[in-house]
Amino acid sequence: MPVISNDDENNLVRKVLEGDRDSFDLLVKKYERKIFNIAYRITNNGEDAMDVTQTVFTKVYHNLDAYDPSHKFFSWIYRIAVNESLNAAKASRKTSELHDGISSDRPNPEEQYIQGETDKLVQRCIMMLSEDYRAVVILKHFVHLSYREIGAVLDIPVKTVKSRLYTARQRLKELLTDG
Amino acid sequence: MIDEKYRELMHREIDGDLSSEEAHKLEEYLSSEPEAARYYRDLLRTVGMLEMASEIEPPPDSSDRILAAVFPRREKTGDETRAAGTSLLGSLGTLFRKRHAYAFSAGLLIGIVLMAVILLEFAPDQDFLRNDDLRGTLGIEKGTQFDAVTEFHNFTIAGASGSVRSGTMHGRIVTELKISSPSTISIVFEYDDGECAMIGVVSRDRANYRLDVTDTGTELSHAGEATYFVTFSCDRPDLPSITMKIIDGGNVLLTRDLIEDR
Repeated sequence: MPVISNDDENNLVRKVLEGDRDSFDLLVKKYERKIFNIAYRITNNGEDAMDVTQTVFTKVYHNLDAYDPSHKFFSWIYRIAVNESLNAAKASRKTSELHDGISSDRPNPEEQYIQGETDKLVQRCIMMLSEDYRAVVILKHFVHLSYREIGAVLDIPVKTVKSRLYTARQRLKELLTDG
Repeated sequence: MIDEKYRELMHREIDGDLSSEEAHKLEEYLSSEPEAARYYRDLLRTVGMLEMASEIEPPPDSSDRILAAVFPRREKTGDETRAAGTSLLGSLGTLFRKRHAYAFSAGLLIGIVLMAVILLEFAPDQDFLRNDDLRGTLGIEKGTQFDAVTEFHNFTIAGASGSVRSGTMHGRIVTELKISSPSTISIVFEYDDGECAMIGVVSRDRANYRLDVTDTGTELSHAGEATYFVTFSCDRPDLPSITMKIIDGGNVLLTRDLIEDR
């Protein structure tokens, strides 16, 4: 996947608005994995995450003329992704197994080992956070955004980003290492 | 009691948001406050676990499904029966593609698990180590589902017998340790602070064990017979520096460097 700069992204957006589908394909290729991961970490369900990912790109395409190019494209698309994921999580409230439909109820140790005990434990603990805290942790540690970028995505001040992030990590520390 | 001001500095240090002056103040505080130092170490471990969690792979046909959702095909008008049939087939096709993606993922996972089970259960027994052969390096064998894996070595020493091997998988180091005689021993994994971290232990037999983790080592206290998988994350999984020691009553019975790149 070639690296696409912000300027290139704005050019892609302009071309999509002019009817160029190939440019939209490039945006899909750049963001689908991150969007899917945001959706998965928030909903904890593979099918919901894929549905959210499809919905996000559909909304992006149909509302592209409302996008303000003076802002970063990723802030806009990640904001849609977080909102859609939170809506999906509220709708389904599925918080059971990681890799649902693949894991058995009692995976044997080899399966646990292959699938990654840590991944499952981390995901379980993330699901124990309230949605506000979960979103900040996911954007910080899975999408690797800065405080300012997280603030732009969630439309909250940097001070609030820090406060939520520190509280969330404190809670995760208690869940992951104190138990 | 940890000063809240320094608690915030710890978080900011983790995020690379401290000035050198603030970092120095934090360092001084941590060196004088053991409780705060312990808190900070646990916080680093927590963040390490978050950062090490795998990126989830979208279904293989993810792009196609997104584009199909954004640019749905228009049905032909004028032939309602055919259009309805096409629509039904389209729905079934979509359903099949969705199911197919998950079936493919499940099949792939089951395949990996079966390969692991076959490898684990049918790995040939290797040489017994002599009691005077208590130091050394286990060589890496290429061409398994591991990125690289050592030979499977049996050992018989005073206090314990069993076998051990190590491999790398998805950038992590996994050590499989079978204790096949009833033993009360400690297994210590030593590594350089900051270069490696222990991220999980799984006991195949759901055995009882105690785990003590520090920045530079992990001690697994064991009683009975059990098989463990101990997973580490290292900055350079191809060239880690992890040493395993089996200890009985303070005496080191066996020392192994788990992996050395060839």
